[in-house]
Amino acid sequence: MRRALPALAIAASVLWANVAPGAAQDVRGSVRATANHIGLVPIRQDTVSRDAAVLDANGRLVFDGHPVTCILEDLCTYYRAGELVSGTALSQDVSVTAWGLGVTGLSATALARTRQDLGGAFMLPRADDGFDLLLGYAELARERYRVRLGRMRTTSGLGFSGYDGAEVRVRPLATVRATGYAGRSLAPGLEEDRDRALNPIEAFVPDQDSWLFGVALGWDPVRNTALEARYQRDLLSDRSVLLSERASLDARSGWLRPLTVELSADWDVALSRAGKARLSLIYPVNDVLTLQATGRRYLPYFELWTIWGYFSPVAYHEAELSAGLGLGRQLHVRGGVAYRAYEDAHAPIVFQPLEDDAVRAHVGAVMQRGALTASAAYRLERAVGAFFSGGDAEVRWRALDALELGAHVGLTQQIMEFRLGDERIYGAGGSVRWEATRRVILSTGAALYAHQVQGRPSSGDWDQTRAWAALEVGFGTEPRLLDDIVPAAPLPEDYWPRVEADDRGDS
Amino acid sequence: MTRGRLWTGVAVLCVLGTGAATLPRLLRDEQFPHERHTGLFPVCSGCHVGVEENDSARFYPPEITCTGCHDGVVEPRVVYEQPRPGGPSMLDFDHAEHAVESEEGLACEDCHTRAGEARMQVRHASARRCLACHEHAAPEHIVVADCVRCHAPFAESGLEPTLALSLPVPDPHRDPDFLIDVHGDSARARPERCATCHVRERCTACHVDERQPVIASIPALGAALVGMPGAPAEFPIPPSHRHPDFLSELHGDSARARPAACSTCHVRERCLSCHVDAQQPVIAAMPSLGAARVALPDRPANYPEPPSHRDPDWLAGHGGAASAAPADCATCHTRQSCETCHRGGHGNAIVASLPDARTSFAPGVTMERTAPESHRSPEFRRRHGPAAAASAATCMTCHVRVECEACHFAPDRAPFHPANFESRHPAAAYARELECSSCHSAERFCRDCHAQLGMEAQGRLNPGFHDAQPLWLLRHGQAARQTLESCTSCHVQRDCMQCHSQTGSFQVSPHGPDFEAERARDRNSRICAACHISDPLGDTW
Repeated sequence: MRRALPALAIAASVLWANVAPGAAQDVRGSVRATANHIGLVPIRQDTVSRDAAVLDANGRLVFDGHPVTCILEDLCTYYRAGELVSGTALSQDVSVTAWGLGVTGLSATALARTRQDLGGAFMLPRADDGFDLLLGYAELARERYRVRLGRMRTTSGLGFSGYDGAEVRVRPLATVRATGYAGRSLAPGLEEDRDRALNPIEAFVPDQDSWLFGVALGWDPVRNTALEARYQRDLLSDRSVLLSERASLDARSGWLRPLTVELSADWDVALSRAGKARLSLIYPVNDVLTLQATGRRYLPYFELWTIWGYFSPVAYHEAELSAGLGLGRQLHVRGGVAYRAYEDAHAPIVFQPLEDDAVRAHVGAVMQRGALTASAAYRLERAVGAFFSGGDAEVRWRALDALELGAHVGLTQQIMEFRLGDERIYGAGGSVRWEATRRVILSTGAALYAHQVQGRPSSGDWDQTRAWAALEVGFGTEPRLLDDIVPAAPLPEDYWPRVEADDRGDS
Repeated sequence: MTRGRLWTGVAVLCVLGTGAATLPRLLRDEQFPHERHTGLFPVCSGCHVGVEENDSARFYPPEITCTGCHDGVVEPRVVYEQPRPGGPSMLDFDHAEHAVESEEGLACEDCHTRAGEARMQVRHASARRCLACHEHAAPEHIVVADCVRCHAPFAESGLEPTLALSLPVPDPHRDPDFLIDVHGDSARARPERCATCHVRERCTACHVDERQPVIASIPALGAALVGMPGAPAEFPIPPSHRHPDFLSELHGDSARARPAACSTCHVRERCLSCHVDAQQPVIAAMPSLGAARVALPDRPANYPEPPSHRDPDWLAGHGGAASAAPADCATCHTRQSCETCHRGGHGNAIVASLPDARTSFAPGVTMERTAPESHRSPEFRRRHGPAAAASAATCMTCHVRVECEACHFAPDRAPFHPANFESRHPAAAYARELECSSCHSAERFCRDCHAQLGMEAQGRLNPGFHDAQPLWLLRHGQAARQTLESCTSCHVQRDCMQCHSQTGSFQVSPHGPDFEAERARDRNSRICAACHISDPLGDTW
C-alpha cells in the first residue's frame, strides 16, 4: 500500500485536474515526481591499540597510513573508508491553484509533497517522511486588502516561517502595506510541528504547540524604493516559553539611480542582540561594468528551545567588492574579493589562538550564444581552519526546441574544518531536459564525484554517484501551457445588447 | 384647349407612347407621322384628350380615330395599336401640371418641337428643354444635380434592372476621390439624387450597415434584383487609415466619435478579429456580418504596438495605466495576456476584469514572459533576497507563492543549487555564503546525511575527526563560537552538554561575557534547566 501511494497521488491529481474546471473558473498546477539516487562511500570510525600506531615523518601517530587520535592510553581512534552504500527515494509534488469560485480574488493554493524510500542502505534526508503539506491556504485578494487562511509561509529577512493560521494584509494607501499574521508555528525547513518532526532525534524539543505572531509594515516612499519592518514572535501555547522574538528591516532603493541600495538587518529581541545585517551598494558604471560593494554581518540564529543560542556565538563582519562585466547579452563576467573578521570569541586559548579571519575570492563567466550556454567559475577561500579552491564549468546546449543537454565538470581542492588532509574531488556529470509537450517535461541527470585525500590511504572515502530523474506534468490554464487559442464559435445572436439606430450616433 | 396645351399633350404622347418599350426604344424616333397630318389636327388635344386631365387612359386616340379616314376607301388602311401609357420611366413628369398649372401656360410644341419648326414637326422632349426653365446647377444634363426635379428613383421606375448598368456616368463620379471623400457627404446631403440612378443594393454592395438612414432612404429593387450581375465591393483605403499610428492609436477615438463612419465599410466581425472586448458599446453598435451581404475575407488579428508601449519604462509602469483605464487594455489583451507574466493575476481585480481568451472571438495579444531588467543578471538569483523581503508584493505581481517553493524547496538540487554544488557545499555552508537554515533543517537534513556518512557524534566524543588540531577538545571553543551552525550539522546538543552542563564531566560554562542570564531565563527558563541542576540566579525554578 505504501508503495502505491505515489501512483494514487498522481492519479488523483490528474483526475482532480480534469474535473476541477467544472467547479472552478480556472485551475493551474503541476505534478512533479522526482527520483533521487545516491551511492557513496562513508567514513567509519575504528579503534586501534596504541601499540599498533606508529609515528610518521611529521611526528604524527598513524595506523596503516591513517592519522590516529589517542585520548586514553589504550584507546586510539581513526577514520577509514567504509563499504559502498546507496539509496533511492521518490518524491512527488502536487501544486494546485484554483480560483473563480464566484468571488473575484478568491483562490485556493496547495502544495503537497509525498516521499517514499525506495530502498538501499542509505536513506536520503527525510525520505521516511511520507507526506508534507507545504502550502494549503485560501486567499481573498482585493485591491486594498488580502486575507489568507490555512497553511502558509512568510518570507522575510527573518527567513521562511511556516504556520497554520491567518494572514491579513491591508493597503490603506498606495504606498503603505500593513500585514498581520498569526497561527500555529511549524519547524523551520520542515513544515511540521516541532514535536513530530524533531523528537526523538534532538533533545528539549517542545512537546506542545507553539504560536507565531507577526506584524509587518511596508512602505514605498518613492519610486523604486521599498522597505519593510517586521516583528515576529513565536511562543509555546501555554505562553510560558519564548521560542523566538525577532525584528527585521529590509529595504531596497533605486531612487538614487543608477545606484541601487539594498539593506537588510535583524535584531534578536529576545536576547537583545543584533543578528544578521547586509548593506549592498550596486553601481552600474556604464552599460558594461557594474560595481558592487557589500558590507555584511553574520550571526547565526538558533531558536530558544535549543542550547545553541546561549553558547554566545559570535558574528563575523565581511566586506566584499565585486564587479560584473556584461558584454551584451552574450557574455557576463563577474569577480570579487571579500575579507571577513570574526568578533572576539572570548574562548580559552590553549597554546595559541585559532584564526579569526578569512578571505575569499571568486571569478566566473556565463556565455550565451544561440542555443549554447556555457558557464565557468573559480572560487578560492581561506577560512578558519579550512581551505577551499575549486572550479567548475558547465555547458548547456539546446539541441532542439524541446531538448536541452547539459554537461558539467568540477575540480575541488579543500581542507575540511580542522581536519588533516588535502582533499581533491573530481566531479563530472550530465543532464537532459526534454519538453515532450507543453505540459510534460522529462529531465534526468547524473554526476560522479571521485575523492582523493593526500595523506590518507583510503582515498575513496567520499566517492559519490548521484542520479536523478523527474517527470513534471503541468495542468490547467497556465497561458504558456495552452495550445493555440482557437477563436470561439460564432457568437450567439443575443450576445450583444440590442442597439437602436438612434443610439449609435449616426450622422 | 389652348395651343400650348395641345403641344403639351403631344409631348406627353411622345414620351409615353413608347409604352412598354425600354429606354433605348424610347429614344428611337418611331412614332405617329404627325407632319404628314399637318392641317388635319388643328389642336393636339383633339387626339390627346387625356393630357390636360392627366388621364393616361386617354393620352392616345383610339383606333377608330384613324379608321375614320384610313378605311381602305378614303385612305389606305393602316395598322395602329393604341399605346398603353403609364409604363416604366425614370421621369417624374406631370403633363397636366405643366400644361395647366404652369404660369406661362406651356404649349405642346414648346417642348416637342425645335425652335422655329412647325407645330406638327413633333419630337421627343429633350432634357435641354426642361433645363431651359428649371434651375440646374450645371448647364449639362448628366451631372450630380437636382435630378429629382424631373426623375423618379430608378428602383421605382419599373425599368429593367440591367438598364442601370448602361446609364451615363456623371463626370464628378470620375474623380479619384469621389468614392472615398465625396460621395458620402453628397449622399447624406441629398440621398434622393443618388436614387435617380442607384438602387439601395448598389450601396450595400460595399456599405455594410444598411440601417444607416441615408442608405435606408434609397429605394431597393428587392426581388427584382434577381438576375442582375453583382456589383463588386470596393473598399478604397481612406487617407486617415494610412497614418502609421492609425491602427494602434487613432482609430479608437475615431470610432468612438463616429461609429457610423466605421460601419460604412467594416462589420463587427472585423473589429472582433483583433478586439477581445466584444462588449464595448462602439463595437456592439457595429453591424454584424450576419446582417450584411458582403462576405469579408478572413483577416488575421493584428496588434501593432502602441507608441505608449515603446517607452523603455513601459513594462515597469504599465500597472498604473492599467489601473487607470483597464478597458483600454481590454482592447487587445485578454486575461491570459496578463497572466502570462502575472501568474497570480487571479487575485487582481484588473486582470480578472479582462476578457477570457477562451471565449473571446479574437485571440488577443500573445505575450512572452519577460523578466525585468533587474532579473537578467546571473547574480540576481543569488541576491534577490533583500528585494523580495522588502517588497514581497512586488514579487507577487508576477510570481505565485508556489514558485518560491519550486526553487527553494525543490526535491532535487537542480532548480536551486548549481551543478557541482555537492562537492563544494561544505565551504559554502561553513562561510554561510548561503543561509542554509532558510530552507534546510540542520537536524533533519544536514545531520541525517552527515550521520550516514559517518560524520556524527550522537552523544559520543568520537575524537579524531578534527585531527588537524592537537588537543582539539581543549581548543574547539573559539571555532565553535565562530561557526556554531556548522557544528550543529553533525553534533547534537547532548554532545556539548557532556562538558558544558552541571551534569557533565567538566561543567564548563559555554556562556560568553556578554551573556545576559536573567534575560535568557525570562525568555525560556526551561532550556536553562537543560544544563543547570539549580537556578544559577538564586531563584527557585
